[in-house]
Amino acid sequence: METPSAPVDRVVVGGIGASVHLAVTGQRAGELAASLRTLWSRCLDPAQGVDAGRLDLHLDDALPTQPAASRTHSTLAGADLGALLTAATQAVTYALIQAQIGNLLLLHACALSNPDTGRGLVCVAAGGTGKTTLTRTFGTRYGYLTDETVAIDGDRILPYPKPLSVRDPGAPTKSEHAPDALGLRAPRPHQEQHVGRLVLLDRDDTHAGAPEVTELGLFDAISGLAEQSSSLYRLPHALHACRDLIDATGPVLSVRYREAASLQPLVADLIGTPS
Amino acid sequence: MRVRTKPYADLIDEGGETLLLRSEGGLIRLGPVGAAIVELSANTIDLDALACALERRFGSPDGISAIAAVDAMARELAEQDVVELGEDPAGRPAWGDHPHWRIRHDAAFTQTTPDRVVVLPLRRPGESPRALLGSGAAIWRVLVGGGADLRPWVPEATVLAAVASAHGETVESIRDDTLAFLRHLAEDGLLDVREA
Repeated sequence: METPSAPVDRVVVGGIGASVHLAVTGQRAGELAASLRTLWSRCLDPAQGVDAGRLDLHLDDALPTQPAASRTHSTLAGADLGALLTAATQAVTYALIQAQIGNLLLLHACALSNPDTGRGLVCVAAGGTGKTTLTRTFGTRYGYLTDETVAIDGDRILPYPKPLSVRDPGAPTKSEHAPDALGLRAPRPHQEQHVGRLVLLDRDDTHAGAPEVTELGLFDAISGLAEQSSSLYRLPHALHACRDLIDATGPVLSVRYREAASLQPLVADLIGTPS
Repeated sequence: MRVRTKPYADLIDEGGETLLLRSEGGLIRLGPVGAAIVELSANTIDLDALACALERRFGSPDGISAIAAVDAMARELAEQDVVELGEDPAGRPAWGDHPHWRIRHDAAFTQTTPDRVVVLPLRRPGESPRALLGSGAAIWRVLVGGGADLRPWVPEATVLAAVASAHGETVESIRDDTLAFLRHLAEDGLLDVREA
């Protein structure tokens, strides 16, 4: 594989209070940089935050189709633009999380907020269990904060409005889509986002009827959050932080449901209906 | 055996239960006794001292000695990586060379005069209070701790020496009668014995 040459372009993307410097190289660097700016339009030029390092992205027809990642995830190179963009999203997310482990409560979760109030709904769930679908279902009306990684400082959500990986009809693999292209609403500029409620999602294809909502006791709630946070033990006073957050926002809810749309009354009840 | 709580990331209490986050990840839920073991083992503690402290706090377990119950719990917590277990330092057996005796936690007693102690085994409903007089009262007084703990483990040699001294006799001359009396009190549910 060629050694990436000097960067042709640089793109800085950020989220969860950190930023990654993308160094774009290769024969098709211009095309790659333009795609990155479109997909990451809501994460460009982040405010000063934690430096999550540099990621080299190299798009060149002379390379194999599937992007190859170095052991450190710091270089991705390939000939397929779509595959490279998907790999870049994963690598950026990984770098941001690594930079904020021990600083923030990090959860596998999606988050939406009421643009009128900045009151956010954090829906915690494992990968592949409905976070992106829920985000797309309600994100046209509520502000899109993230579909994958929610970072919380006290009760404040640090947004990460990243591209969404969505499977196009008939396509064998997922591809990256900008939140704007999916019609997702943005929160108000400079509006602080706060946790309104934490919800543990339990999507069940066999569930019938209205969503089943259960208030969890404190220890069950923290156990559920811990299952979807690989770094909880690295956060100082993590259990106290979780307890304080739950005390401030109300009992964590476990929600068993089948179709995301059926959650509409619950979402409206928890964070209000946007004007 | 000695017990020491391993470093942990965080711990919270709620409604009589405790949640512990291990330093390498993983949540452990603890009941009141488990939480007390974690607290009391912050510094290395001998199992017998731990058992005594827990018995003072929670009373005697049903159908099992306090030592055996705490031993089982400590091993369970060690499997969960919450505490670590170690052997007693070489050359210092946990119980020395002699048996130890202790007033049971479910034995009530009151000293009515210097030479008269009234005792009652609470674990035996319907049992009447019994008065220990003279040397019986003297033996009981030796078993009563002088500090906050009124029911410490007392080495058998200490009991024998105190009784011999009180009667101006040698230990050998009072040994058999004294040990017979201690065994009698144990059979009546008033004392615990820990063999050497």
